[in-house]
Amino acid sequence: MKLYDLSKLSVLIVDDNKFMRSTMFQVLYGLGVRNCMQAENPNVAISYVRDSPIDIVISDWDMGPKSGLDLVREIRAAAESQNRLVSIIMLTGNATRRNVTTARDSGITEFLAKPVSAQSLYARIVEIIENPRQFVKTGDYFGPDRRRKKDEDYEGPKRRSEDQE
Amino acid sequence: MADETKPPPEFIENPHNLQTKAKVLVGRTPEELFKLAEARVEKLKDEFVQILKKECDRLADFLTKAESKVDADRAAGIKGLRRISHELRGQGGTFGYPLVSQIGDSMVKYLDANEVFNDAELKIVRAHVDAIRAVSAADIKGDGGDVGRALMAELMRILDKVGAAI
Repeated sequence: MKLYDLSKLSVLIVDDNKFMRSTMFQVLYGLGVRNCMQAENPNVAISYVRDSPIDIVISDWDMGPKSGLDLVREIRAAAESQNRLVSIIMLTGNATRRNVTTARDSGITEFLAKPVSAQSLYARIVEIIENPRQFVKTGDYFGPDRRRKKDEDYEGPKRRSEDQE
Repeated sequence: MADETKPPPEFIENPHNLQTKAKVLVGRTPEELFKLAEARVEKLKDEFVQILKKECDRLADFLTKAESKVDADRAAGIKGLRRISHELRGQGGTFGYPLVSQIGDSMVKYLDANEVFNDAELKIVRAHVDAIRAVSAADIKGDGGDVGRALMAELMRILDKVGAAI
């Protein structure tokens, strides 16, 4: 894996647990991130997202009463926001297949299971840097293209409606 | 066949290309960053140990509530147990206490899988609380060696009895 200078990235941490925010801040600082904002709930996060240039949002899922998923949906729905297309890493201690799918269908960019390590977080950030995905708008979805990469060798059925025209 | 009722997808190029901001530092590896990050996390470890101790006391308090005869107290007890277990499962592994994460995860899954908590279910919940308290009291790091394996084996034996699993 390559070493990237992350000092120019702006990252927003969203977690209702103060100690977890501190932990994430320290991990990010160690990885070289120098511009790091923190929000204790999705409402505060939305104000940051509306007003500040942010490169990556790292949000916990399980917050109350508004969840990380609610935050993702609000960010993606804010058509006038400069950060509507911001990269979002969703953190959760409950990384079931179903939750991964739910988060993906809400418009997240990356999914990261807790407990977090410096390696696992860095790997997600590098994925965002090295493989930026176009966005897709359909009747019921707005978010990063859920097809990660074009597989030139793929010979199976194409399932998108426009593929079948 | 294409679904003619659905509009075709619209593709938007991502304007946030982070490669313009994050440059590769040639000749260096990310391991040096991992060491820096881990050193910073290490400094929070004592705080985590103190939080774990306090949360163990709160788990005991919520368990007492969950065992109450008053419905509202029982519900509040289960809610509190879930909240703390959820937080601990997300933190333990980061600070070198993976058993805390494993037991916390098992507890959350058990609480989520059940709607009613009578004596039999509360016995399982108590086994989880006792296991986390044991890890905290004995300061069991990593897999805990023989003690850790025995602790997890006992919890698994109890869960196996009711068909649940870690």
